[in-house]
Formats: sequence, C-alpha cells, structure tokens
Amino acid sequence: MKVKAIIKVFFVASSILLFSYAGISQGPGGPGGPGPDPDPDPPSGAAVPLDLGLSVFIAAGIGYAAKKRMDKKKNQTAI
Amino acid sequence: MYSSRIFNKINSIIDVTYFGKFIVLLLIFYYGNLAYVAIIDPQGLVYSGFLDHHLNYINWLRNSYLYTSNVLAHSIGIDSHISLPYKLVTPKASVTTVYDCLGIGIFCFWNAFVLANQDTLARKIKWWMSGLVSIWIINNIRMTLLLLAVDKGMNYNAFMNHHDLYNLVAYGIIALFIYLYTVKYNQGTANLHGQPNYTT
Repeated sequence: MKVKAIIKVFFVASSILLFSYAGISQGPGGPGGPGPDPDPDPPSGAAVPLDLGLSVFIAAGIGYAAKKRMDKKKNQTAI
Repeated sequence: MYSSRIFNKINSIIDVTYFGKFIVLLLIFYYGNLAYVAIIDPQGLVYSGFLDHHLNYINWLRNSYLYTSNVLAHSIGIDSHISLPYKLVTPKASVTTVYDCLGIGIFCFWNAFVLANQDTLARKIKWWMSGLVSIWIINNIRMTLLLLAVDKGMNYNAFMNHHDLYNLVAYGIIALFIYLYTVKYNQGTANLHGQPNYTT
C-alpha cells in the first residue's frame, strides 16, 4: 500500500516537474515576457516569475481528469 | 452518431464532465484576471479609475508579497526596504515583482481544480483556502530567498537557474497538495459507497 502511494506521489510530482521544466525553458517573464504588465516604464532588477502558462495548467487538468476516470472505473469494478 | 461515439471514446479515457467544468472555470479565472489588468491599466482602451484606485487587487497582492518578504528578509538579517510599486531593494541588489511573479495563474489553476470537483462546500472551502495560503507563503519564501541570494552574491547551481529551482520546488509542493486532495477525495467517495475509511 505504501509503495503504491509512493509511486503515485512520484508520478504526479514528476509529471508536474516535467511540465514545469518545459515551461521554464521559455525563460522568465516580466518585462518583455508573457503576460501583461501595466507599468508603462518597465521595472528593472531580478524578477521572480512563477506562472508557466495556461497550456501547463490545461495539461495538468487533462492528467487529473484521466486519473479521475481511472478511479471511477476501479470503483465500479470493486462494487 | 459519429460524434457521440468520439465523445464516448474520450469519456472512457478522461472524465469529460470534470474536465469540462475545470477548463471553463480555468479560462474564466485566467482571462478574467487579464481582462481586469487591462481595465486598471491607464493606457488601456477601457480604463476604470475607480477600479484602479479602490479595487486594485493585483496591487494588493503585490504589496502583500513585498511587505511580507520585507519582514522575512529583515528576520534573516537582510537590510531591505520596499520601493513601491514593484521592488524590494537592498543596498546591493533588488527583486522586482511584475505580474508574472504574483502566481495568479497558479491561483486560477487551484481555484478551478477545487471548484470543479464534486465535494461538500465545507471541504471545498477548506482545501481552496489551504491551497491559496500555501501558494502565497511559498511565493513569499521564494522572493525572500532570491533577495538573499542576489544580495549575498551567492554562486548559483551550475545545472539550474535559481528561478527554475524555485519554480520546481513551488510546483512540487502544489503537486503534493493535489495528491493529498485526491487521496482525501477518494476516501470520501469510497465512504459514500459504504467503505468506512474516511478520516479527517
């Protein structure tokens, strides 16, 4: 049971990390990067972007929806 | 006929009902925020001075990061100060928080993720709030550590940019949250089917 839980954590975490690594290859955002910046005079300094973009979130949603379907199938066979 | 077959095929692979709700909510939150930024931008086509000056939650969030990170920075011995509207400054370096740094995309993702699930309202609120607060705390710690790194001129990891490292940690913690939510959710669902293993 513990092994299964560890595999699940590893799968979910590695999926997200894989997506995030694809996203970070685009480089940090901020001035000149993706997303709006209401400042007409873009600030300088070390920026700390966190968002990786909509596509990563959609991909994560598809992954989670697939997992939900698998869980439902498992539950149905168990009942 | 053919389309329904395609739908059934897709529905056998992913939970289409969940994904439909998730994607609609995600797009509403994500683009809703972008639209709001456009409305509070004085150079935008549809500018609202009232929203800009009185309901500018983007700035509220940015300021909450700046002030909290400033306190955290002082607590670890960094002589920092805030240079509104964007910067946390030390005598040697500065950290800038633009829109992409606020984590609004992740907030939107978490909102959509929790709201799209079928769950009790109380549990949804509990998980929703826990996720938002965690993302906010992670981002504050990240900004403080980055300020520490640039202020002390630390040598960065040769294999990975410091931005990327922080991103990986932050997304890893969010992945862990999703996993914990899934485990609790499945336990709750199993309990509905008469399997008494749900614990809170």
